[in-house]
This record gives sequence, C-alpha cells and structure tokens, in this order.
Amino acid sequence: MYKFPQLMPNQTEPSCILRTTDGACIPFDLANRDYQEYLKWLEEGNTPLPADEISE
Amino acid sequence: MQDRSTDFEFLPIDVSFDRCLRYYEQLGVASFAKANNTTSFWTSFNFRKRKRGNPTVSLLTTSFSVSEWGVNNFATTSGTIVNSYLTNNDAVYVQLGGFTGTSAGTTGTVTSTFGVSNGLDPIIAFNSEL
Repeated sequence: MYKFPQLMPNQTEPSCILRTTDGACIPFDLANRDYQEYLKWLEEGNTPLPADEISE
Repeated sequence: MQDRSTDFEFLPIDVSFDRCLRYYEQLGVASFAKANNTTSFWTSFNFRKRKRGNPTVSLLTTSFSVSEWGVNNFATTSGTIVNSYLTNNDAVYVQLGGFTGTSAGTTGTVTSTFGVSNGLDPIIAFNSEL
C-alpha cells in the first residue's frame, strides 16, 4: 500500500510516494527500483491513499 | 568470447567502500532542522557520495531527537518520514514527523536518541540499489 505525502508550501505536486509498510519515501525516478514496483502496483489497478492533513 | 569468468579483482577497501556509497548509505546527525508546524521538522542530509539515481529514503529507527542545544530537546519514539525530495544530486530534503510541542520556526539539530552512542547512530538510509 502507498500514500501520497503532504505537500510543502512551495510544492504543487508530490515528489515522492510513501510506502505504508515501512514509511519509506520513494521518488518518482524510473531508475529507482522501488518506484518500478510502485508503477507495477498501479498497473494492477491499485490507488494510493490520500495525504494526511497538515497539522498547524 | 571467454567461457569462464575473469579473475576476482582485488580493490583497496576505501575504493570498494566509495563505490558502495553510490548505491546505499546511512546517515545520522543532520546539520540543521526547522519546524514548519507543531509535529514536524524539515532537515537536509548531504550524501557522502553522489547516488546513481534518486534514492528511496527510509528511517532506520523511529526514535530520534531535534535538539535546541541548551533550550529544548524534542524527542520522538514514533518518528516518520512525512516528505522528501532531492534538492540536487548531492543532498536531499527530508521532513521528519511524529513530534509534539514544536512550533513553526523552531530550529535545532537532528540526532538519534542519546544514550547508546551520544546520539550519533545513523537514523536514515538512502537506497539507490539496482
């Protein structure tokens, strides 16, 4: 399972995806093997969870 | 084409270690952290060696601290990675979460929990393995 991260104030789209099993932050880089696994997971019809709400 | 493998190539340890760092490394103390809300700090880690690709960032422990030396020590035992992004090829910004009682603008230094190694154990890993 994966989850979108909270965006930084200067970010308009996420730069990574969070893997919920271990909390790792996986960048959107085709050279990254964890990202390749994420893409395969998406191809299987899965959808990431939305980002947590930002606490102030 | 040869039908057998080449002889093992002996390399000095420092050369092998340097090559390994292109794929994986662990880091501990970050130079600076700044809270951007009540539960998380932004900090940055500089790689010892440029990675072969944008690495996966993961925690080695959920227990670490941000210390305002001589003022406050914000410790968590349930730390998380909230967000991260590569700033250039040699450093990555990481937002560490799981804190309580901070306020936006609070600054300090990230360390692992004191006790075992005076807070110098590595807390975070960067993996760019094939």
